[in-house]
Amino acid sequence: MSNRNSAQGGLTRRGFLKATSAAAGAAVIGSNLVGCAFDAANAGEPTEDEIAGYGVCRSNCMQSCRYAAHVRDGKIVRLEPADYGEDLYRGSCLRGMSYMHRIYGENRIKYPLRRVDGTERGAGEWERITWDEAIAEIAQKFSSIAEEYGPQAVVFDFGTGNYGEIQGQTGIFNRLGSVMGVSKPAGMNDLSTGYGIDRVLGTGLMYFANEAKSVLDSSHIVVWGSNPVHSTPQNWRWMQRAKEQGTRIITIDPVKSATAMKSDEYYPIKPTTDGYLALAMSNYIIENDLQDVEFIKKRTTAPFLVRQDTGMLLRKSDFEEVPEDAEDEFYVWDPERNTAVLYGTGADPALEGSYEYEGITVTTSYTLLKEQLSQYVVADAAAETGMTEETIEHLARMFAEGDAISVNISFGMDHYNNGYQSCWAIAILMALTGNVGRDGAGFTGIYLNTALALNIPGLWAAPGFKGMTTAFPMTLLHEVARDQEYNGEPYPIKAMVAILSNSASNWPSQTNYLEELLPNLDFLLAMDMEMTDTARYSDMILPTASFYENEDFRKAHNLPYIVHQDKVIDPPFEAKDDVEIAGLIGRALGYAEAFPEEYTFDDYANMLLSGPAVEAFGVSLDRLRKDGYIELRTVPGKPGIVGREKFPTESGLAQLYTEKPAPRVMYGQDVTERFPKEHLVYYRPSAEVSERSEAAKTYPLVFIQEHTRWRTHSQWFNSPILRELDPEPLFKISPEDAADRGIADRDVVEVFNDRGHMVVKAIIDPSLPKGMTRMPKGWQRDQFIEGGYQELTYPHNDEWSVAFNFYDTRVDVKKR
Amino acid sequence: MHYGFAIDQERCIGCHTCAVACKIENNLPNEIWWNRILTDGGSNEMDIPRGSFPDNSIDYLPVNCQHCENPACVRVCPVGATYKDEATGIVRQDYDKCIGCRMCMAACPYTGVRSFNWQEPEYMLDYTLGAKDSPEHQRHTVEKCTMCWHRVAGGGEPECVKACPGRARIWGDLDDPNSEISKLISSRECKQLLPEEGTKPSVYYLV
Ligand code: SF4
Ligand code: SF4
Ligand code: SF4
Ligand code: SF4
Repeated sequence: MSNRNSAQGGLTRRGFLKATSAAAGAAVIGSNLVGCAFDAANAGEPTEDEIAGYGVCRSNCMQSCRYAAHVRDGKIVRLEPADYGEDLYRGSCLRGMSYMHRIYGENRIKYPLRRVDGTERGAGEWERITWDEAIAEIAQKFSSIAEEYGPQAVVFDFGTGNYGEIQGQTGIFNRLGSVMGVSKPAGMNDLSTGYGIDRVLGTGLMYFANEAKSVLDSSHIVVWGSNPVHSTPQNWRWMQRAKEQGTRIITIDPVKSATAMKSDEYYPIKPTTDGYLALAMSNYIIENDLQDVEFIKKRTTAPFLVRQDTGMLLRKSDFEEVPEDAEDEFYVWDPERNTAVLYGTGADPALEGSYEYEGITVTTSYTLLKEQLSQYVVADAAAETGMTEETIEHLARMFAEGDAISVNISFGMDHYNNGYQSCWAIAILMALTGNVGRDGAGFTGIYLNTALALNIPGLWAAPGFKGMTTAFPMTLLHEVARDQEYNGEPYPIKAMVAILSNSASNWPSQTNYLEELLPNLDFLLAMDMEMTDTARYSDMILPTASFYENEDFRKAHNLPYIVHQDKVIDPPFEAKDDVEIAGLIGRALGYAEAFPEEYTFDDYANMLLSGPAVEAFGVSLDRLRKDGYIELRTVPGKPGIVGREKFPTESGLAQLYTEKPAPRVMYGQDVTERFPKEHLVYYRPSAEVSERSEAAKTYPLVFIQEHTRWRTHSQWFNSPILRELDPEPLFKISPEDAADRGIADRDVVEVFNDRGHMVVKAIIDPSLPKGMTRMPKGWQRDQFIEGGYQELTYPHNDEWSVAFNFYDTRVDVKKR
Repeated sequence: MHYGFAIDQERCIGCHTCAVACKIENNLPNEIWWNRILTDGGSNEMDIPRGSFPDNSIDYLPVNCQHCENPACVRVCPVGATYKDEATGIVRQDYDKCIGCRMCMAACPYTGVRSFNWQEPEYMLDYTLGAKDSPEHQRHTVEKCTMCWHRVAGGGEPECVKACPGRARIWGDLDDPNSEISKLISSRECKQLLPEEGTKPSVYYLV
């Protein structure tokens, strides 16, 4: 019985060690071994000769580990962590190192497959077809749909399975979608954090963070609702190093995360009340005069004047014609001359006060913010967040008095309906305390390089460009497909292509997908390496190439490099890379001009790698091939810091008042009611998780998804090597909630709400407070006893942030 | 020379990367793990901490063969299949000599660091992973961490050291007072596993 060496059995210290004892500073062991020459006669050499090339892992884990691929007899035998310019940027993880198990494992989709005619979707009956048949059928389906219903009846669903610039999410299939003129529903993942912070820093949806290394300059690192120890270990490595140098690490999280357990201080908070905490801290700071006045004056819009009548900023154009290409400057109040003057022209502008100018009543942004904040008092915050008043004041003082504070934020708070307000509030707190735009200060979590702009239009806009239609967000796709109309107008949807995407598994409220979207599609095409939920429910599957089977490059996540991927092996079986597949489909549809037969990777790569920004960094395909990676720092030797010189806002200043708030995506929603509220940061309870919600009356348990080491979203969902260690889905519940329901470790439970259910084994997790449950994400439906976790999740988006809210979910549990 | 490991538990994040790297480098058969990451926590479940909320804590304990100075396994092996290489301190296992009596497994106090191939070894993939020159696994033999002999002998370092994203695994010569490992264990508080067994492990855990 081979399982007597059980891999997972005994993976705890119990039953392994009876005792260990600590010995301070154990001396170097005495040894009388003579240092005689090492017998290397029958030992092999390290296997550098096997390195077939270098590559970069491109899953969506927000890290970018580089590997040397060792190849023997045409197969990858070892993925060795490879260097970047700095030792601590060399990264690795169990997923990246075991990637060959996904390349050659049993799960690999080997040939084009078509659902057997007459069988149910999801029944698992497939027939092998040739590429020629597949492409002909796809082209026939797309053309007849386009002819009958228009090209936007075909939906391209882009996921995050590959961050290669050509083969990945923003790559070649966008060129195809754009010549076809398909629909591309607005992306919804991980967008609230950036949307909230953008209100203050102007950093767009994804560009709010500093380079991972920047934490070495932080006096304090506040890990706020993220768990880098498990989910971004390559970032944590820098935080750990900072800690060893004396940086204090403070974690704020509803659960005692692995990161909390490694932190110097940990503060539990009721989920989704983070915004309230940040606002009350900000208010406390101002009431106690602890704010960074110097910073507020120099680097924020505090003195900008807001018109009482319109809510807009007082600008030059209020009084004179300003040509469209000229800067429409801002007015501030000059207290010496007692008049409004253009910012930058007068003496020290007034930070506070209301004034009359040319018959217009105006108030400084700072005064409005202070008034707004005054409603968030520490005592109320204590009640809302479950923290003590002392804790809130301690944290506020730390933000005010710390030398340089960075907040590791990522997408924990993001995944709730009020996520953007939480992140907006934290950005305000950072601005008031001067903790942005300088060494060691600002957000970390997902650093993306902004200095190097790749020439995306060069790649996407092929001859015959129509563009892709983004009329509605992903959350509404099932409704549009069900009704075949949108906003009262006909909007036929007939086919969908899942590109690097496992949307059936990774979009919230899976039942909507399975019961409303799927039955209304005539054709679902999945392109994947493995039998994901989406592939399983599709009508046809095209086998795609893995990271190591084609050339590519990527701008790294969290590292200051653009990194090259060598093609180190051929795609096995009949897999093809995206460049080839897009070309085949494109030409079959008649877009030979956009996808000439003779175009190779190089042609498309050179389209992206053109333009002044690319040239400024000396980035070229040749150099990428030769050097492997190219550093993209703007200040050599200095970690990338958002807003080091100025913030990417209109004024270059951090914005305390949002003049023209706009929803992230306009899709026909009514935004007039909330518009007046969106100028100044405020708190709004979450949709379900809030204790005051309707859902809370029926469903006592909050349910969140853990990002663990075993999977990146659903990637690696069935890696045999990892499943020896982590074999099955486990639902985690607090000891109190388990006891209330008579649940013991490994009991089978049903987790349910009005939207769906899953039947799964439970384990008791004392790092959860009563009322919170969680499970590691990424398992596929066939890995559950019944149902699946994504059936349970909250389906709606906030009308302003327009993002998925996976964690704004309540459930109950009963023993089976 | 006396090679050993220091494992920095402050740095270790329990990520299992070293375990997976070891399994690949040594082409370990299904269900065999020479290097395992134990949860030192509150229940028999992986990653479950001790204590009650919010006062929980957890430690991870990566455990491979401790390459003991006074190895219990060597003493009991009737055929000398497990032996200490005097030049390096590495405790080795000769598959060709091993008769599968499993005396060493019973004698070793560090449960689980040795494993036994009950059957013809089976693999997830149909080709040999990792080093081309690591010895082939055999039915009815005991095996364990070799300290990556095949790499170390050629001047390299163990695969798990290079793999560790936490930079928690330090490997080197314990006899050399100037080696990084010697400096670490003389300056940091550290512990050894089951010191009362008298095995004198060459693995130090920095706490
Ligand atoms: S999954 Fe992420 S952390 Fe793991 S190797 Fe790939 S990039 Fe690195
Ligand atoms: S840990 Fe066990 S197997 Fe390894 S040397 Fe010590 S006694 Fe032998
Ligand atoms: S030294 Fe080599 S054999 Fe031993 S645990 Fe590390 S990787 Fe495995
Ligand atoms: S790889 Fe390093 S951090 Fe991860 S479990 Fe092993 S020793 Fe710990």
